[in-house]
Amino acid sequence: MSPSVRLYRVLVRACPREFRSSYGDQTVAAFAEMIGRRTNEGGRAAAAAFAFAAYGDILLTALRERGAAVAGDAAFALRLIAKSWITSSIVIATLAIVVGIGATVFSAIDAVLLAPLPYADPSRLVFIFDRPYDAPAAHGTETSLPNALDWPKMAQSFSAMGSYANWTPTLTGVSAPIAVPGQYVTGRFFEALGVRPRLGRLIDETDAVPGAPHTVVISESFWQRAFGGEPTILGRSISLSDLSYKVVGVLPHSFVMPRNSSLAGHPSDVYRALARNASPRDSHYLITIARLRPGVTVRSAAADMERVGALLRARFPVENANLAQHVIPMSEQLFGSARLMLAIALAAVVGLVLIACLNVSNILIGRVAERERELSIRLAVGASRGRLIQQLFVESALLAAAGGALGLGLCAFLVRIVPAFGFNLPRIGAVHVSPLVVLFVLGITCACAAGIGTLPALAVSRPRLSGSRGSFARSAAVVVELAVALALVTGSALLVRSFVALTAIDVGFNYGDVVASDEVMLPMRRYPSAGSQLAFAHALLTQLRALPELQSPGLMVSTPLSNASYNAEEFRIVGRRQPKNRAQDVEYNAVTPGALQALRVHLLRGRLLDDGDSEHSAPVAIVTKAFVRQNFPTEDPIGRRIVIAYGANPPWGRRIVGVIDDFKMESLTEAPMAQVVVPFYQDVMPTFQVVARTRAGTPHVATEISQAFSAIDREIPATRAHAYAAFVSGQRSSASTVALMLGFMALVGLLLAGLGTYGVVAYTVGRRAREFGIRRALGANARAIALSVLVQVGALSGVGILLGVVLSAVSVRAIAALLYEVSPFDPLTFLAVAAILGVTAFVASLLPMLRAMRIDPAVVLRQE
Amino acid sequence: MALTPAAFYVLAALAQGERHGYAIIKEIEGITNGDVVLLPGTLYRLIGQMCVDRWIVEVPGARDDDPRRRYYRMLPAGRKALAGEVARLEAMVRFVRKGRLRASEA
Repeated sequence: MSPSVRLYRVLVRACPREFRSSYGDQTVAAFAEMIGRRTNEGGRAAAAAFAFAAYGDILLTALRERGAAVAGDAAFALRLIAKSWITSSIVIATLAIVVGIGATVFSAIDAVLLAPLPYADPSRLVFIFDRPYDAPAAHGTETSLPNALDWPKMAQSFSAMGSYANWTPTLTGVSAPIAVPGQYVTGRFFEALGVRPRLGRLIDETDAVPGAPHTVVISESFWQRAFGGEPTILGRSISLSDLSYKVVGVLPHSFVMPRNSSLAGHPSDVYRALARNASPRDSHYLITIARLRPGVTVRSAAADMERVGALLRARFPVENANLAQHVIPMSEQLFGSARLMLAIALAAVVGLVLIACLNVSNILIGRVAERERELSIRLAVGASRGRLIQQLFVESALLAAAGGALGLGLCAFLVRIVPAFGFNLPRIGAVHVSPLVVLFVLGITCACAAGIGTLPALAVSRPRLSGSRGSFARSAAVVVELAVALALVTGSALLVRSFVALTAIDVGFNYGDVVASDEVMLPMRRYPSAGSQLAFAHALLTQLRALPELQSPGLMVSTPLSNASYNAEEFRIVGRRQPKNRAQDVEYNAVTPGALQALRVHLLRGRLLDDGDSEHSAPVAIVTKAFVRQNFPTEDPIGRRIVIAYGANPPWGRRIVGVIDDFKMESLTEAPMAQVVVPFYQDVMPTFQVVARTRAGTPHVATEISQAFSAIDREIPATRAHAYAAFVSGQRSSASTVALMLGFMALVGLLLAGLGTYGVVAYTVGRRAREFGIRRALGANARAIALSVLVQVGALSGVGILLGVVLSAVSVRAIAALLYEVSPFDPLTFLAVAAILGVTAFVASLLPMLRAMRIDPAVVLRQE
Repeated sequence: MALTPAAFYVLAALAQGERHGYAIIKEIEGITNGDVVLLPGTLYRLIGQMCVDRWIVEVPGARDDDPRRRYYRMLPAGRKALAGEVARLEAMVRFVRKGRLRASEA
């Protein structure tokens, strides 16, 4: 046989078996004769041309024949699907639900994690934070301007470095002055991010030269809103907090600040340069970003900064005492916690898809069992098992495709409502059904098709033609379903418990009925001196006290759980030698009379501040329980004198007049902090918030507070006020986000596992109907029948629960980082969840059990 | 419905009498002077379909022939399909000729 014929024979194998057995030999024979004749008559070239045409032809034939076979199977499968439309609908709905949930989780991953940061080559961007030298694991904090300017000069790992800090100037010279969210940036900030201007130029080194003209870069949306998108904006001057700034550029629409903390998530609108000599080395308020040089790793950059930090500690032993730096990739800093949450959600999706596939498999095995006779006959007349299995897979593929299509629709709906749940994830608002999500749905649908077809195919491929087809496979499937459901429920139960624990945390103050304004910043031009600021504060408090809806209004420099707390810049106890840098251990706060009363902090000893504590009276201070524990563990603090200072205020010696209970300043889970609260009138500051207690609606009160400001000074921007509870709930949303997501999926998983259990028990009861009937006829009572059903359910759920506990114990490690005051191996939770699973299995088997008890022996025996 | 060219050739060959597959290929090639070459895959796929549709049927071959050879005979349904196709083609040929006539008149 010539090689060309041999190749042809190989290619014929691509055709389906039916075609080959009828026509295979003849096809090859015809080819052999044809090519032989051509070789004799037309030579090699003619033969080769013919051979190529014939090879193409046989492959095309194979494709067409296979297509026809699949089309035939599809038509047959569609008839089957339509015939048992109830189970088909259940199957399709089950798949649609899990595909929909899975696709929604994936679209969140796509929007939050996979979408690139809107900067050039973002993988080379890092944050550089300060940290205490002796606490390498401590949370990173802001740095000072002189340090931030020294780093790029001394370090070798970065091609550019820039820093920024919040700036909230007032746009003046317009009808109603408004507070504009903005940023101070250093000269190479935009260069480090790799941002290109939409118009004009961005802030650069020339703007940071001390004494340079005031320039400002504005956001695209501010340009549109405030200036109608006029291109003539370049070169125009705008008035910010009574200073004139020349607009030199407009940022592109896509630009966002790397960490947006100004005005509670509002995008920044104005950016000005921070002059190089703007602040001292021990004033820490800048966040620093840097771009790694090509080829430099984060690790080597960290080592580089380690060296720089040591040099600066040696050169500035006072200001930089105990100061070192963190280098952390930007994406990790921004998305680290989101990554964990979404990884957990994705794992839950995998569990859910597994449960759904097993459930559907079970239903399909049931169908195969119903078609036992038909399948046996087809096998007996010569249909190959492979052919039957192909047909089963075509049916699975059709069901999965329908489920996948509906699931995609469900996902399109879910992504619309997802942002409304207030998930604590960055960029979650941008979630949408992207092409990648469609691809994911396609993949998950194929996986489902393969997953739900495999068990029924195994059931068919078992050589035994009679008996209980697939009953072991079905039981095993239910066991695995129960186990996975148990792991899901355990995970979500732990998260719900820690969420409850977070809710139960005593924050140390009572924020129900409390409203708080945004932070107000008095324009320095109009209020340059402590005296003028003091006059404003007195006038404001008088205005606020005149409002009948407000009880105990007050001003507060740093409100708990709503913004950053202030480290004291100087602190010592009079008559005691203190180690250096003790000021970092003490939080500073200044309040007017009314503020602590409005927050209802618990007074433990002495008194709170009142109107007697004015700028003319003796300097006093209130301290917290943690402060007493830290500084006066064995002594009475009342009457002791301390020196404390922050900002421009002189370090007064103060007498402690009261002790209050600890209250949470920055986060719900923080350890109690040593705090000192001083009278605002004795330590006046240009920034503060208004707090007050009210029974009236927040919007109404917000307007009244805003009017109180403008009654004193029309140039003060309108301030917004919120119910205090909103600040606090923001603190809990991380835990609630995961608890909500996982809880929902666990519920779906539990429901599916219950349905699966029901299916298997119902099927077994059907199969054992004859046995039960005979046993009843022989005198067994209904209870004995119920017991034998229960034994089956008990065995299934027992093994399932056991397996599930093991699975949970392995998988709860993943969520350990998110748990608060709950051990991941909390025995109570494990017990409760096991009980829930047991009850679910029991409830699921109630109906079949009742059916088994009602079996009429007469009916069964008559069927014999 | 119009037949595919390949189906038309197969039926046309079988209209002459019982044939085996390769004989059909050779006959069509001969009549069209080698312009039309049916390839084996296409041919046997068509034969398979026509058997299912009962247009043709497999019949036992001559006793002295190669036992691998399978012979096919046209059935009434196949004859009807071929007649329909012939009528369509005749109509088309008439139509084309009439047009050419007019074109030469003008």
